[in-house]
Amino acid sequence: MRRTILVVAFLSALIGFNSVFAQKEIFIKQIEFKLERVSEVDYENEYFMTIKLNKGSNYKFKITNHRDNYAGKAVMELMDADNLILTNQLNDKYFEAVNFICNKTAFYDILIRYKDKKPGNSVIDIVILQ
Amino acid sequence: MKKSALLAICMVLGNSMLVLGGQKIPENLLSDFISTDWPTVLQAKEDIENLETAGIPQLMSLLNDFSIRKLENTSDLIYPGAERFYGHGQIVDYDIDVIAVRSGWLLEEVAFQNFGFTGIHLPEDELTGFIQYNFPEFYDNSRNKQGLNRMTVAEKRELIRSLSIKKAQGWWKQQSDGWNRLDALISALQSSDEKRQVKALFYIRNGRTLCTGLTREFYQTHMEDIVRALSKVDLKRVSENAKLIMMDMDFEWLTMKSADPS
Repeated sequence: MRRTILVVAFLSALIGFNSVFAQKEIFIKQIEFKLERVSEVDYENEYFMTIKLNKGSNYKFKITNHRDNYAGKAVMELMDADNLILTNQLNDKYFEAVNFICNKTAFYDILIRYKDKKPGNSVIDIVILQ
Repeated sequence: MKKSALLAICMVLGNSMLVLGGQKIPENLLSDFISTDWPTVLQAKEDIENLETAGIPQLMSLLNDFSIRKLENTSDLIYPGAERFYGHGQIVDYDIDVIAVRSGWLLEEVAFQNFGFTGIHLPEDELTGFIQYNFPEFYDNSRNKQGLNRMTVAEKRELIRSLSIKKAQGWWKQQSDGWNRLDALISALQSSDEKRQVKALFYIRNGRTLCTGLTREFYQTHMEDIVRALSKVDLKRVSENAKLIMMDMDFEWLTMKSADPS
């Protein structure tokens, strides 16, 4: 009995500890991008938007693909002018979530394209981690 | 006879004054631009861009130089010749190890043009489409089209390179008389080529090099309406960039453009 109480107490403490230190996610924006057919005009095959990100904030980009069974996997690029500062595709590795700690308040460009020029339907959730 | 001799003397004197006045790319700068050290090339590119019109004739000559100067110190550069991808860095969408293409890259940036140099390194299955879309005069000729179908991938890349060079040479032949960067900027904004529009808008928003005559007053009088119209087009890459320029009420984009880095 004493052992059970000890285990329960330990688990409670662990859960409490985790909830204190777990990162809270604050939802900022959801980007929806659907490409039904691939165009010969490059810029028609991409999603482009600008977003203001703040210095010191920790952002997370969560990518959900294959909505309505579309084949394309979205590759996101976060750009500061012509500098790529974050992407979810590194060589052959593909990530469905990427984090970015911002060190300069500015407008950044977000570019989304589909891998291998396939049609796709995806959402990207942008959250701040606290 | 006297008149033509006088004219010839004037032309020689004019050319000498251009050179004396620094209106030509200095040899050391040109040699930096064709060097293999990426930071040196990047700095030289910016310096040459600041020369505006004066740098163009020598860049046109470099279009005939097909030598390869493999870039070094490129850890923070993402380009077709990169051997590793680290997930971050400056993106240059040109195969700038080849001097002719490096020159094409700079010419397109100075003049806000789209000659086609970015198509050379595209994936194999996109090359024919690129030629069809970017060089319709070539593609629409049935003999050329048949020839294209028989070409290897390497030959198609070579073809895009030679068509891009021809396009650049044709442009300079037509435009060299009285060309200036400010008119070129407006012409790109007004063109029907979305790549040129984006190049011009990107320059206004992020560019640091000189465009003589581009002042707040000039922008408000001659460019604001064009940018406003572009902010309403469907293509997000165009409209979003245009909107950001319009939102910059303090004209910070203009203060960035100075030849003096201090």
